[in-house]
Amino acid sequence: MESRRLWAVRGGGALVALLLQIAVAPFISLGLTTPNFLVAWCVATAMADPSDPPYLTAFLLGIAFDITGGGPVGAMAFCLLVVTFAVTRVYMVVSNDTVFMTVAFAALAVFATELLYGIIVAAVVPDISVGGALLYRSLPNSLYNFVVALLLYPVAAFLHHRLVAQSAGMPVL
Amino acid sequence: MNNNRTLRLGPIICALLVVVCVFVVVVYQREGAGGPIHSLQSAVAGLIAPLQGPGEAATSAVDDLGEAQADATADAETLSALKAQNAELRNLLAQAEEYRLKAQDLEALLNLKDIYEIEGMGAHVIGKSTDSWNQTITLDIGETSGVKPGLTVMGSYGVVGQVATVSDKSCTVRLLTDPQSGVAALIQSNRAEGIVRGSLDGMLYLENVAADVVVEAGDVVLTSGLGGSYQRGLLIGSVVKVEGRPGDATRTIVVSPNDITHGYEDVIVVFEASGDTGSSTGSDNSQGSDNDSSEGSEG
Repeated sequence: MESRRLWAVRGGGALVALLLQIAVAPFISLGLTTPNFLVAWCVATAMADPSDPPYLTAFLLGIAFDITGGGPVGAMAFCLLVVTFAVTRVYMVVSNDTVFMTVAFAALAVFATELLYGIIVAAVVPDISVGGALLYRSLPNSLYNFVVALLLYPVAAFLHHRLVAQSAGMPVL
Repeated sequence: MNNNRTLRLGPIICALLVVVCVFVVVVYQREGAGGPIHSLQSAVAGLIAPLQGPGEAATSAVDDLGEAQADATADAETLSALKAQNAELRNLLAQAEEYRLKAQDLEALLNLKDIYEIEGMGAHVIGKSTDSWNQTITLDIGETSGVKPGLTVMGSYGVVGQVATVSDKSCTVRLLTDPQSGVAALIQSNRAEGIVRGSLDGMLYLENVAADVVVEAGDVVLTSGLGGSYQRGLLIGSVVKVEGRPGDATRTIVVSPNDITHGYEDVIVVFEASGDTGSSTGSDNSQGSDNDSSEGSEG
């Protein structure tokens, strides 16, 4: 399971992401697209340390998103768990420490999350079609979240690297 | 060793949490709007709304910063004492303009209250939806003020939505533009009935209008009161675009909500209203009046 220090980093980051989502996200929306800091942080932490996937963080962030938003409670938590599981498994195998791979996986992960969420919302809300959800929400949201994830990934990677270096007794540069 | 344990336990924990998620989604779907998860959602919406204050302030601060940067890059010699004084005056003017707009808003609300003979309660918007999947706002009045789910909410220039969930001291309003919103409507000029629906693209569409009805841009659209979910005769907006001709089964009628560009600061939660008009509400598109007043059904 996640160690205490790792927990502190992930939990602290998650709390900040939640605060940003509540207090900042509604005011930096572009048209009907609001960024999702929770998805971005979850993807960033999952990719920063794929060997120890942040399942609990993903679950708690998803539930927090569902409760603070107006959508079906449990849906985002489900999406984040599934995406975290899939992304960490595949990323561990194919990651070759290149920027391209990181960027591609970040894009894939946020898109998969939004797509899955769109499908669930379309399934449980009768007035929303899958096509509409994909076109008007999942795609633009993915683009915005991708940018946010790219901003958050270096932070998550730096914190993780620092944590690893500290536990190994190595000097942190 | 520890890593192996993590790799073994991880998928099991993930699977368990996924089961919990599916269970919660199913419970959420099956319980009504008054169920415990819905109530929790509504209570949390009220609790987090004050956190959005700093965000709003930060947004305007960023705007000010941009302006300040533009000033800073100007030639230093041009920044005389007069300019400083000018900035101060501009500040005061902006403040006065803010007060004027607020007064205008409140005046329009009072005016609307008189026009529709509304029995309702004024409320301040204290929060808006934190995600892009829902178009909602949070108001600072709740169950203790008599607010119930289903009540109509009006802005300065017409209907803005309907109370979706209520907690003790706040309530969440689903805006008309939300894809889950739908309101029975009628076109004021020819009394043709239909349903105005929100959509994912943020537009309002008038649907289910009889194929032979002639609809033109500028036609005023009111709530019809059918189904009892909205009070009758309240202004929704006006037709801005009609694609297709009468008789065309796939005709698309786009309605412009009157308040969409206005932003919501103060609204009225309508407990009861009478008066089927839609005229003189501050909208240029309102035409004439129709005194076919009827008692609106309770939310």
